[in-house]
Amino acid sequence: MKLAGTIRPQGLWALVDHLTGQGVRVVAPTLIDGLCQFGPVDSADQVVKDYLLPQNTFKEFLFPKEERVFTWLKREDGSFVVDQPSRDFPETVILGGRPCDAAAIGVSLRSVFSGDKFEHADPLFLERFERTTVVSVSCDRPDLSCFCTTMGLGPDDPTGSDVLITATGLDGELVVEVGSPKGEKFAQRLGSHLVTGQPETELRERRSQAGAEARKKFVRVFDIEHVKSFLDNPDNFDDEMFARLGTKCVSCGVCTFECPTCHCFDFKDLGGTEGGERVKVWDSCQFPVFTVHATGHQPRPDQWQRYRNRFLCKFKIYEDVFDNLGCTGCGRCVRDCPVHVDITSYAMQANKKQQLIQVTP
Amino acid sequence: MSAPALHTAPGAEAANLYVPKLVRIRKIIRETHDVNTLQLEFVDPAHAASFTYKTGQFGEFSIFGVGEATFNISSSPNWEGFFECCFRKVGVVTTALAKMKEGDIIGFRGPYGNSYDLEGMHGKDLIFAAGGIGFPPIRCLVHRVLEERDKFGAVVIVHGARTHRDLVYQREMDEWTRRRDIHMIKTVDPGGDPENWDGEVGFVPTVLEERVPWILEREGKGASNALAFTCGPPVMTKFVIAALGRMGVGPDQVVMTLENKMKCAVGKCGRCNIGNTYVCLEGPIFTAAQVQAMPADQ
Amino acid sequence: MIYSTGYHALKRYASAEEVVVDAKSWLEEGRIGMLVCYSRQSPFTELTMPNFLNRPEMLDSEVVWNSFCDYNLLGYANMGPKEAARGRGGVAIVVKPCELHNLDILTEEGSMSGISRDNVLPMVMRCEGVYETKGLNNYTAKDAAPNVQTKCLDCPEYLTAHGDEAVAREKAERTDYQAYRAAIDDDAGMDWGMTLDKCLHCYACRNICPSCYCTNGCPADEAATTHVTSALKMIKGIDASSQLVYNLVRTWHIQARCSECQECERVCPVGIPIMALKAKLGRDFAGEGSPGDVIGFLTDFAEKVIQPKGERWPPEEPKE
Repeated sequence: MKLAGTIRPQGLWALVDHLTGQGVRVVAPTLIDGLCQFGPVDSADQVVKDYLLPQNTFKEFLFPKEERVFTWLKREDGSFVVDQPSRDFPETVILGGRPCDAAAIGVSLRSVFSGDKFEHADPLFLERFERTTVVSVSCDRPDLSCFCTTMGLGPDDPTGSDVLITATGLDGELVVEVGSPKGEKFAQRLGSHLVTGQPETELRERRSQAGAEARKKFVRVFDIEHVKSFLDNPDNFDDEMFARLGTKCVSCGVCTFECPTCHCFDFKDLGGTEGGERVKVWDSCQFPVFTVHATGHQPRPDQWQRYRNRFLCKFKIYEDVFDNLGCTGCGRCVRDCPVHVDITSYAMQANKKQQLIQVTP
Repeated sequence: MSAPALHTAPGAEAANLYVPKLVRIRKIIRETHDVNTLQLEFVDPAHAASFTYKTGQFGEFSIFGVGEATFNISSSPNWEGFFECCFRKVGVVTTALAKMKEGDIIGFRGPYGNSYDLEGMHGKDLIFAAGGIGFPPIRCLVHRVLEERDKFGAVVIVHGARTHRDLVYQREMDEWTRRRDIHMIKTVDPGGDPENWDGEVGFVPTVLEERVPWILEREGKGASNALAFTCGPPVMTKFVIAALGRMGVGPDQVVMTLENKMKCAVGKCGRCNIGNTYVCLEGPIFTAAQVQAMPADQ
Repeated sequence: MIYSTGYHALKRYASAEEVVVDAKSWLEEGRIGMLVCYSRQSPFTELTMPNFLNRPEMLDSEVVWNSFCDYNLLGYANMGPKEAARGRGGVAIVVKPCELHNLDILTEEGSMSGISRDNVLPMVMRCEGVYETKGLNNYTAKDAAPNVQTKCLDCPEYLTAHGDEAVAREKAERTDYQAYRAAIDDDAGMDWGMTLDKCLHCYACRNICPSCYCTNGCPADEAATTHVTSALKMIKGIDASSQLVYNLVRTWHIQARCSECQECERVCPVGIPIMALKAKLGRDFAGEGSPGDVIGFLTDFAEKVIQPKGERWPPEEPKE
């Protein structure tokens, strides 16, 4: 990332107002139903200033919860018309995302929908992505559920962000770093609010110090070095830990809907005999009906088998199939699971079991 | 009637890969009381001209207003002007599809998935073993093989069903029985044979084990030169693979198609994975050895 | 709070250690195949999680009993008949006194639930109240003690443990308790149509409820997705959403079989006030329509509660 300069908070809010005034959609942490969530804002005063992590992720602005994929109509003469909705996606700035979200959505989720590995590029995601600038804000502290450092990232990690803003604690100073052409454009829009020309060494020093201070505060830190080898061994698929840890799951799907790397969806065909539409909607592998065949055959009849699939997906399948991290440690699933199913306990136990195997000759 | 159209709204240049193309049902062949073959042609000649596929691939077939279903493309890619799919009435979508008439329009997305390795089959002795509605993915390959019969060694087909009324592709089987360069063995489960039945009576794996080794010995080059292709209910394929194993045809010489619930068919909806294998991307055609290495998540 | 009186003769356990002594010997002698209990969620927090232990040697380090043990573990009571079917006797479940009413119901309905006092052994704890952990976001010993759950404030054992004065004071201080009671007593101002429409059909409420065990087709699910919703539309002209029908039918179905453990509300990801709905049904609709007359009940609800608000039903789709 390139050091672009510094701004004060007022400069950032002024830019937000300027952007919304220009018709750019600004998505930022805001209060929705009393909860801090990512949502479109009309002005800077709707942005929540003191927050840790919004409850939802901003993936819904790139991969909507519901999206009409096509409509169809049967005309009187019996002919058919199939229409695609126009893809006139608004220019969007995601302001205030955290590094865990940026890495998960900007890199991992994007790799699912891109055509990079398997040729099938999804323009619905990619075209939205092209018009979206991700402006992340480094965290100054984690909470007890956060574990991004364990996943190889960090509270000030730039992966997936076009712009990264870090508070140094010095008089409200915010350091602005830029990591892409979209980021450059955003920095330019800051105009005179962006102060440049400060002594770079000291600035860099303050900037890394802020990141290091935040890193020290992590409590949920554990070893995952051996987790993938544990999961790569097909014999471990039937390990007792899956049933023990996963039976309590109530398949509410909150983990899936709040997870920034989860991408499962379903198609719903709505309408009647004369016209209708197909809608792409979010789905979850935790729901029982997810894998049921038309014949009634159910490959994952028990709830713990479905959570096993989730764990496998985040810590093995995502990497094997999409070459990217399946989990960035945002902690939402840990924080918000109503029965406290804890994916980190799966990881810790898998790691421990694998270590024991390797130590015992 | 003005031609059915597929519009692309302004600004939507890149293909939205979830939108089907329109195909017309050219002909319906009632294979059995609950199994139909559909012959389909593209409504738009431009789509027809640019459509190619490889043997064994599958497609997503949309019944507008009802849903989408996954079927193998059961025709040979060298047939011109149309392609086929074959389905059994099991659920909401297939029941609606079974009610459609010739001339009706449905949607098609595809082709998806991998295909049979025809070059790798050259010179090999081929064993086809399939049951009931498992036969279509085998049928397209048989047709393709017969188009270049001299490139392959011995060819044996064992096709079974519960009763003779459940055997699909009756017409093809009669043709193949008349050919001298392939062995067409049809069989029904014990008790499923009518009077004057001219085929075998017994389960597919049993008949396979009784008849095939002798044919391979006489006309083929031994078990190591054989490739087997099987498709059908898991209980049948399990015993077929075991029988083949006993004949010296190992799991890496057995090719099968895996069925899993699919939606997007392009590796994004997360539904069809077995462990780290997305069936729609890397399959549905796998060797038995590959399937045996997959976790028990299917 | 619906309090069971039938189990006062049962042994009461004061600590995890006491539970472990009995559960271990039951496991070893094959009387149970599994202990369903509370364990610490992770080394990083005091919060607990349900745990399922089938090896005696795991009990010493895993079983906990404290005020963080908030789940109603009877939601997993169906593991009892499953273990029995596998020849392993049944399960022992760590149970709070307020949850025993669920076990009364499950054993009363034994012919349908499969649960009996032979395959589900309740280990009833001495409880002094459990904390409200919803929204706690990981708690450690350094944090200030959380509030107890609103249902504890009405519990006779809590009263005995803490004394009349202290409890009365707490009730007066706890605005959330007052709000909860207010919603239970009177739903004026509640927009049931909009509230119930938030439902995601995740079925977490159904999955966690001990009284929801219909395996051969959930009546609420069928009503919501098939003929009841169509019948309402075609016969009565009522356009009821599947969310409304599911919530009403499920709540109605467990009406008389609920111990008010509040688990359904706790797990609901969108915060539907299921307890207030249950109270409303009991208050305003008791006796309306025979138990089998789902359409009668739903029509009644639509005509008396939803439609008088003049709301369009279902509500308009929000535009992007």
